[in-house]
Amino acid sequence: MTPLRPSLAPQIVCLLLAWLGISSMTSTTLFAQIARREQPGMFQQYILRQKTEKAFREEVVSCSHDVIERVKLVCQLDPAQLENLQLAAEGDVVRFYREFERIKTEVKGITTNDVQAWQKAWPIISPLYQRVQQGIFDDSSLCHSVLNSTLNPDQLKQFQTAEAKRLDYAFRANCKAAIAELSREIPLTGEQREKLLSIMISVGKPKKSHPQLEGTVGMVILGKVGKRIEEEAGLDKKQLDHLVKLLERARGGEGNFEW
Amino acid sequence: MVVAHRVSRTALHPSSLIHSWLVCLAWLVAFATTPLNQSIGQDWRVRLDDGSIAPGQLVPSVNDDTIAIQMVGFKSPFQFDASAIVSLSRQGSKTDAPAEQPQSMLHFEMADGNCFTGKLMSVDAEKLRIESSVLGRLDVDRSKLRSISTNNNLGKRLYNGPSTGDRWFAGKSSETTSQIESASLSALEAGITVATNLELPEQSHITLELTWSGTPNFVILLGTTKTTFPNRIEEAKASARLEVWNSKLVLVRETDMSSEIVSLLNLSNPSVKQIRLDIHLDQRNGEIAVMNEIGRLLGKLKQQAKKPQVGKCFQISNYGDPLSLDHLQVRQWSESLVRTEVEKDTVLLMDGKTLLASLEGWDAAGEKFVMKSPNGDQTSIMQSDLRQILLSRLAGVPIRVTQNQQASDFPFVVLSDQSRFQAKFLASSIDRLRLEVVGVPGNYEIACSQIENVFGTRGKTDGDTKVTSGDEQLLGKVGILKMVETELRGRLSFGGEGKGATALVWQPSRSRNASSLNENAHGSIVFREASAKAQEPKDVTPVTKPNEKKLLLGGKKKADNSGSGQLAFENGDVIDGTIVQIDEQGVTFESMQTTSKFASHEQIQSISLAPLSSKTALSSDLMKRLTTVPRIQKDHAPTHLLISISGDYVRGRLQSLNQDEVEMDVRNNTSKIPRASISKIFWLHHRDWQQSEVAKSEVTQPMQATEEFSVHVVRKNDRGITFQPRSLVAGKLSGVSSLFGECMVDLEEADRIYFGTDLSKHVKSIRQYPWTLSLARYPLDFLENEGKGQPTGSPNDADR
Repeated sequence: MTPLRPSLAPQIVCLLLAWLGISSMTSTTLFAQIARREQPGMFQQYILRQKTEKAFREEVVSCSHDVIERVKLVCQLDPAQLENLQLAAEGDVVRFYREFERIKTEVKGITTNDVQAWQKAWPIISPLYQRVQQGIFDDSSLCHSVLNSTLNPDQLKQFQTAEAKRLDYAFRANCKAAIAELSREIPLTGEQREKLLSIMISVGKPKKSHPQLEGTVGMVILGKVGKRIEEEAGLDKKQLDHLVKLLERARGGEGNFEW
Repeated sequence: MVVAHRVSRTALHPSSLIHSWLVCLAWLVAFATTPLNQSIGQDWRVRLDDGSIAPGQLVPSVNDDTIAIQMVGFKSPFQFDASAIVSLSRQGSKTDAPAEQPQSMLHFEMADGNCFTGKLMSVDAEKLRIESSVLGRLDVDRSKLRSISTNNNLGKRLYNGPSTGDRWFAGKSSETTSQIESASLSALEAGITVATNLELPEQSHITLELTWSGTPNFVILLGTTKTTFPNRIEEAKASARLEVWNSKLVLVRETDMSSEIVSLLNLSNPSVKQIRLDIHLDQRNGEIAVMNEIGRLLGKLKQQAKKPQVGKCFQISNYGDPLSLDHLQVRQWSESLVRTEVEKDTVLLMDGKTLLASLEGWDAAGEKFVMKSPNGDQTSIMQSDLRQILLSRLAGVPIRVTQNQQASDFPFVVLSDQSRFQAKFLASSIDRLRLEVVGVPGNYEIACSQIENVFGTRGKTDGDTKVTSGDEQLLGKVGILKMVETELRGRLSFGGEGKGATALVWQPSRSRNASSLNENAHGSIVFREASAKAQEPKDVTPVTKPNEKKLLLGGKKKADNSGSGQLAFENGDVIDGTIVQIDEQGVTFESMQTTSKFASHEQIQSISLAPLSSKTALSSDLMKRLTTVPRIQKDHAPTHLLISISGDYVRGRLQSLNQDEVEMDVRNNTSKIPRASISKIFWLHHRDWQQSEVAKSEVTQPMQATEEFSVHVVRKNDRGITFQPRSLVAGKLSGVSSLFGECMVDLEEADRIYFGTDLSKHVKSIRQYPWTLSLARYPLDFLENEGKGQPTGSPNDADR
């Protein structure tokens, strides 16, 4: 009988121990563990974005602070105004979590693997999902609507100007990012880039969009202004052919924005 | 001594049977529909600071500083400490009950929160003399006067409730909405939304009183358009909202253009369990003002909508611990301004004009106010032309003035003429209440019917947070007495108050006196709510039906180990004892707990002879098998089930039991089993195929013997004993049982006490005995091929 090579012996012992460990677990426990791994709750997957509840709550609270900081950066808020905005932000968080808890109870135990239950639960969960996607402190939030009554007219104008500027910067950055993405596939001259940018900016930023899809707005605009690019951007035929193929991929995203 | 209260089963003539049925039906209808204590009435609902709540009737008190309530089910009124009152509300009529006030009446609002209604007699630099139709003559300190309003300012009452007959809807979402009784509004669970159409006018004055236990978390919609609920409450349109955000009560008004919010109160103080708000809502102009119970402005919002909408409905959603809507009142509000602090004395006239003028005097004959303008000119204003005089707060006069430290604990009283004042309740020997009004000299006598509402002030003012449960003053075991709509914290006490009273005397924690329960009272006293679970035997493996397990094994006790057994009776009683013998007459036993030594078979439910040697559980399948009888044995069904100490079982007809062995007829063969091997014997009295017959005989029962007021005391390990209570001495409740004779229970061992005159049914319903025999199902073959008509039973039907 050939003796075992010394280097293999510890591995075999480990394997044996692992086997013993697994066999000592009941099949139910094993299945339950596998099931737990494979079936994340709907809530965790869609609302919490794979985060823990604690981490998600921290993110929500941090967002509320950001909103107020944005106002504070532009306007000199007096204590009463600040208190009012903080209260409104608190209200948004409380309202969101009221809804969150209600839906969580309703869809408790439903996993994405249970297709029938999942389909039934989706209409319940989807409004909350949309809300998370849009952002809790969006235009429809209490915090946003309280701004109109809390800030004085000058402050409100300042804030609105600053917000518009911020959004313009973000839009311009998205357009530039789209052109940069484009030039990875189609080499562009500096002049062509400039022309493309001015065409895109002339279209203007969308009135409504999903915050998560804002990064794709540039490509969507390129698809929207295809004709003008042909006429005004000065691209040669080869570049244009390539561009048409590329923009085919971006088609369909237009529905996510509203001009 | 054994007096078995058996039901006579002698054959009745058919006509007498019908007669007895009709009488019983009438008796049942009368008993079920008549309130427990019709003569007392339940016009009032009291809520105390220890969490007690009960309906009753306000009566004059016999002690100072107490409020006397005659409660349903009790012999005499309780004298509750006035400081313990959280609220005492009249379960009022839906709309205006009291007659409208005459035009000459004025409303005087004071800086200390008091408000008096009456005719103005005179004004001087020191005081105002008012003639109130309820209180009589009042001399009030002029320096505390804040406003005088005429009747034109006080709108008509449109709703006063919640009361019987209201149409409230409740649900968790629009799909689950259903109409509910207004009584349910006193315990709104988390997740529930309730709504009603109050027909709110454009301008309304809403008085709202809410109580909660634990942490409040609710949303109230004022002036919402529908009584149906959206899934997200934020989607519901409303003229104003009251929301709790992290224990802060916030007023919110949202329009299409923008929103306004204001924080009203901090509810994080655990001693604050109630709010009373006065809300002025102007839906057309988008103006809302919220005041506290003494008229102090908590917050005000104004937010005009582009297209103003007038919502007529009211909605509450509860997201936290149980919430109670104690009182809701709506009045028409025609005032154009919500009274707030004014810098200078201001006069509002009926024609909408505003003047700056101070009050100089009163011409009683001409019903004219003499006013002085800032430039020193004197003018007279007819009372009929006046809407309101608002007085600037004088420097140095605090918002709330109390005569002494104790006065801060006095409750506020609201009268039917809209007067509201803080008062000390005094002892009264006549049929009227005697009150000492804070800030007004003299005592006043008023009829109970003239009071609308009483609310406490404890825990609502700064630094006044201590709320006592009163338990520390109690000597006995503290529990909660529960009857219909009543939950009173307190203890059992010694006493008895003559005819119609029972030996059960209840001493509420916050009352200065105790009172006997009436003979017609029924309910329970809970000393330990979760004791049944806590005391569950630990050496038993879980089975599917916990009730069966508990009853089957009866809770393993020390008594078992000491060689003695346990007897469980049909009426739910359980005693420790040694079984001497069983014969065809019944069971002879010895027990330290009773003077009785014998019980008939009909009275016995089960006996325990020895503990089980191993953990035993009965699955539901096994239970089903043990309680199923072959159809052939329908007329000769087994009467007993024996379980051996090793967990084996045998079903048959028990013949006898002596010190050595048990004789049992099993399938027509007599078997002898050593007594030492038997753990338990169950009597199989109940057969589902005989239930209709039993039901008939039970209905005839009240005709033959009315059950006396009894108690069923449930002790540790879920063991009960029923008897008629006679006395309570040194924490031991004693009485007489028809089954056992003299009985005594140490209250320290009691977890619950059920009381009433119809206890046996109730006890049976809470102690479901699982051993009811059923006939085997028909064979499938029979059902498919011959299944019409009832077979009389053939050998082929047999054991399934």
